[in-house]
Amino acid sequence: MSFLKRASVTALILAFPLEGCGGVLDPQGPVGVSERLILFDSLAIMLTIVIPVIVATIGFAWWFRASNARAFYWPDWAFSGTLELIVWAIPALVITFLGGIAWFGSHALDPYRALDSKVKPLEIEVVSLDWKWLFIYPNEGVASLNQLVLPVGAPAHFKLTSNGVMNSFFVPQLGSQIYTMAGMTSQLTLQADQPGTYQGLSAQFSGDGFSDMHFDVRALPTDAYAKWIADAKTSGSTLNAEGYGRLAKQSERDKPVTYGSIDPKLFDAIVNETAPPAQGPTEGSAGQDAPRAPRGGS
Amino acid sequence: MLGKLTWSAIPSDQPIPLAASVLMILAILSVLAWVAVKGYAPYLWREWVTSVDHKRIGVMYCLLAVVMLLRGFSDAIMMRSQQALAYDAPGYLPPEHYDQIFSAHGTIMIFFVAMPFMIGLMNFVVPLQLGVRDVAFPTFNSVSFWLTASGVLLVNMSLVVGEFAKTGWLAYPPLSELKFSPGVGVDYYLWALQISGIGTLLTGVNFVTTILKIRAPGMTYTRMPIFCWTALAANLLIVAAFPILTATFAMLLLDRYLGFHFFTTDFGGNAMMYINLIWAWGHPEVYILILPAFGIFSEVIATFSGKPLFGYRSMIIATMAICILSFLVWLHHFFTMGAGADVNGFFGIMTMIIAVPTGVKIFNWLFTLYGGRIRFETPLLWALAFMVTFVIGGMTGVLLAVPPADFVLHNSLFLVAHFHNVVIGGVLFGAFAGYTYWFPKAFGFRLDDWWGKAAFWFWVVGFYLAFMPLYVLGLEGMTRRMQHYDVAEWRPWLIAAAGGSVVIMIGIGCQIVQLIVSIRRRDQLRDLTGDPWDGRTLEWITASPPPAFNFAVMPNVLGEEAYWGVKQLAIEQHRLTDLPAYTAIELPRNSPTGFVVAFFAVVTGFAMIWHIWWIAALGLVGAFATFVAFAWRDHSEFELSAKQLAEIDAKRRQARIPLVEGRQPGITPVKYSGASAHDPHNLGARDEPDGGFKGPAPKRIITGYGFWVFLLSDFIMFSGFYAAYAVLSNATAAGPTGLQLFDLRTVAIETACLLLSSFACGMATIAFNARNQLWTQVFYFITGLLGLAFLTLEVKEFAKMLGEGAGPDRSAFLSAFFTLVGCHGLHVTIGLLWLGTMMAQFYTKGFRPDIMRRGLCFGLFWHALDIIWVGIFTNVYLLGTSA
Repeated sequence: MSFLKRASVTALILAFPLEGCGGVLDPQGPVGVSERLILFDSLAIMLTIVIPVIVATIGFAWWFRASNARAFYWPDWAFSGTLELIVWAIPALVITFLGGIAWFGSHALDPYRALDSKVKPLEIEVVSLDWKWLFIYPNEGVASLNQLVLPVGAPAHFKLTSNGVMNSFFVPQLGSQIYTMAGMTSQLTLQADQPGTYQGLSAQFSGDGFSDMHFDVRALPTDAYAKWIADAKTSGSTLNAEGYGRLAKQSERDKPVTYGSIDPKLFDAIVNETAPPAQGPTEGSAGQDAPRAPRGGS
Repeated sequence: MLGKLTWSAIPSDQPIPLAASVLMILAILSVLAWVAVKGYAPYLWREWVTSVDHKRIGVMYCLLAVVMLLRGFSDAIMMRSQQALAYDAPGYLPPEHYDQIFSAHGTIMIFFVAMPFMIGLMNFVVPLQLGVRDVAFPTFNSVSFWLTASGVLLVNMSLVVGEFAKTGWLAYPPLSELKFSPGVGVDYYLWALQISGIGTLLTGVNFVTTILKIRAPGMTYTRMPIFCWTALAANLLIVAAFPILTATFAMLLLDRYLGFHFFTTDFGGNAMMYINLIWAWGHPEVYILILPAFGIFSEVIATFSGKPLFGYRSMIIATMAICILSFLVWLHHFFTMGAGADVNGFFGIMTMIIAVPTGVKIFNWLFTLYGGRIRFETPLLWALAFMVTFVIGGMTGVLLAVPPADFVLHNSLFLVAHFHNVVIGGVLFGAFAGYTYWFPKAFGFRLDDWWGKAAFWFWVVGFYLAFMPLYVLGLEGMTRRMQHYDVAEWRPWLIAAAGGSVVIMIGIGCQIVQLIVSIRRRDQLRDLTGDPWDGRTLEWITASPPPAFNFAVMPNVLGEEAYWGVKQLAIEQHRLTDLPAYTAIELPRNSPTGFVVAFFAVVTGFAMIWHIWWIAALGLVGAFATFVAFAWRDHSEFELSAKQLAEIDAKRRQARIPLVEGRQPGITPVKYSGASAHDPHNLGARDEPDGGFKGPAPKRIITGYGFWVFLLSDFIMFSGFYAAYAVLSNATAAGPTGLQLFDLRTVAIETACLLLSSFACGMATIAFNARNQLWTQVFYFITGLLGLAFLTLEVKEFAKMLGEGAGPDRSAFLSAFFTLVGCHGLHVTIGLLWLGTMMAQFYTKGFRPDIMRRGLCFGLFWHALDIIWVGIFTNVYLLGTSA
């Protein structure tokens, strides 16, 4: 396996310029770390076959050029049973390795699976709206728009839905993304191990305001997180049906807002489609979609 | 009067689309004016527009693809420059425009560049390689092309009138539903693709039939050139996959136009079903594009290595394995939907398994190069660049097939880099290799070498510069389709990518110059012998350009690489084969059917997009009338006498004398050690020289076979609707269920009517085979009456349900019910129209073979409707009423 290790190191060196860039190669939680490992392992296994093939392609083509008098010419060499066996066996072997990684990896990192942790997971409900994110903390009774605050070192269990268009909830530095879909919930567990601010975004195109549909993920030490919750409870505004109705309208670049009290059944109402549905654009003229809602927001 | 269409549909307030529209209209007008002034119009009409010659149609397909490549590429340049500029800034393209550009770019590049390029090359090459004179259904081939052109026209019209989809190239609902995309953009997308999709489907039927039933004598399956094998695989995929697309788009259209609830967010609609269905088409689609490209590379590598393709049979197995496996991997496009670990793991592994036959192909190409005498002509350069590029793209593809890796890379620019890596590095490089390789065959002169190589280097360098940065950006967490961003680290890579797209632009510029230079220098670049590359397959035995009939005498195929054996024998003996006995042949007459049908298709599509119902109805009537007029004509073929053939062929034989005498530069005589052209047994023939294949099947068989293939695709379309019904059968949205709605007694009478009509239709078939006019008419009349009774009962049933408020807009279940049963009813209606015209034809024209062939097809069609109905009756009505 030393060859594999060396290839792994090569892959790491190739990827070195990306370290610390806030992407998926600079993970800040266990899910992201495991996924990066799988990425590197798979890449290393494949490079062991891809690099020789590239070298051989260029090498064969160059050596057997018509002007090379030293190269032999086998004008009717068209079959070799042994070679055929080998050429079917090599990719099959590689795929056996990789298939194992895929199978065990997709079980170990199934988004629905709880993380191995002694800390009780924090429950968060996520709603994607046009074009903003609503995060509801049902047990704490608070909510937050376009800002996700997490305690460091504790798994966060997300239940996600959409009030209309499909989106994908993704924090590259924490790992797995998952779709948010109207009328149903998906689940995901992530954890941040280091305090910091990470970029979260929608990874599924959802309309004109899509590019601004990102949010900050603030991973706070436990006490700072507790303080944030307490502050939210005292200072935040209220999110009731009427307030949610305003959110259901299209808007872009909404500033982060915290809500100190929420309707506890709001998330279920959104999933069951009894809450106000997404509004969509208002009808434009002559087959053109309406001009977008003014920038700014609620 | 004009539906939604008003003057404000023209984007007079948006400078960029307006300028683009004006430019496009000016370009079209100037081409038309040039044609008119030079007096080319009659020539173009006679020789090209109405041509049913597969070579002409192939050339027109390729031309269409090249023109649309320019359009799609200008979209690409706009996106790359927007992203290079839009760091913390709005850039110059507002989202509502940028979103249209990336949607149009994807749609155009896949449907109107890659598809027509590949179909064009298959059109041109496959009959030549098979050693035959045309495809199975020449006029339908022309219809296919013109329907594709209709789609192209509609997409480009959206630039001038209205807007294009802003949903991405696959138009995922709910975003593409009326609620979130109320404009006409998605309608342009849907109608353009529905219309061109019908054309593609006909191509698939045509080529499957051609390859399976029409080959030169002796060309058994294991003697077919590998490109024909890959074309067969691609067209089988078209037949099996495109009906799914048709069904899926039909459902979205019903949602948008009639308030159905297939994919809506309310009333039980299920958007996930769309995503599943669209990828059940979408993944095979990838292989529809790449398999013919693999075939081109196989031909090119073998030719320029001066060796047969290594592991020919292994390559066939690999091709067919990919063909089948491509249907078992669609879910890897949405691992992030949360399907569960087992499902994700299974589809991840299935996806990787496709890498095995693909890897085998790469190795076999490597061993084809090994021991060769390699000439670095431009087509081979493309093939080598492909091999290097494609293994990188394949590797990142397998990486994305590992579900946990996909969880962080899905929808990122890493994904965008991956599929451009395989589509540009595979399909487009393949198209360019094929274009350079077969250009001399099509036009009789080669493309200029210097400009070709310049284009090659700019393209390859530009490709790496434009797309390798996207891999990095994906790893940095940048997702696709962003109109602006505020992450500083992304910007340098996006600027590099924009630079790469400029280098590619220079490459495209070189290709344009190459074409102009080559046309001007065509006398120096002339291919006199018909075999400019020292080729190995049958297209090189005929003249360049080939005569309309391709081969004066159908070649006798004695082994793999039919032409190579003949050529080596001729060079060895310094003489041509003996003068054959020429016999008169029949060739299909040109027909404007394709062009006229396409005209009506554009009219209908445009009218549907703008809700101008009366024009849409007129368009449909026009299209139907065109087909009736086509079916009515009395002379579909003309004869070429043996003397004319002998004269034309004498010129070809004369031109080939230097080649067989070894005086032609570039053609190297090779001493075969193992196999010899003298001895057919060494060329792979076992029992008899023709290997048991006697040549093209009779017309009756070809027509019937082709219709079977078509029916197969029709069944698959029904399976799409049926799958939707199965998924949605419980989504009643608190509305009525089947138990409350279905009236089994009426349905039983309907069923009886239909089954009896099938019996009557069978009797009519017996009668016309016995050439008995009276009983033919009587039994067809009974068939029609029973069909009409069926339809009447069905309409009454529908009307009753609508009256009770249980229409298709009530729930997803009812949407699926009305669509499935209604689609069958639509088939019966079409069948009745067909029946009427056919009865009139039998009556007025008697028992002509072509009309009898149509009678045979009608019988198949009518019985198939029975089979489908029995499925509906048991699964929908019986199961729906059993509590």
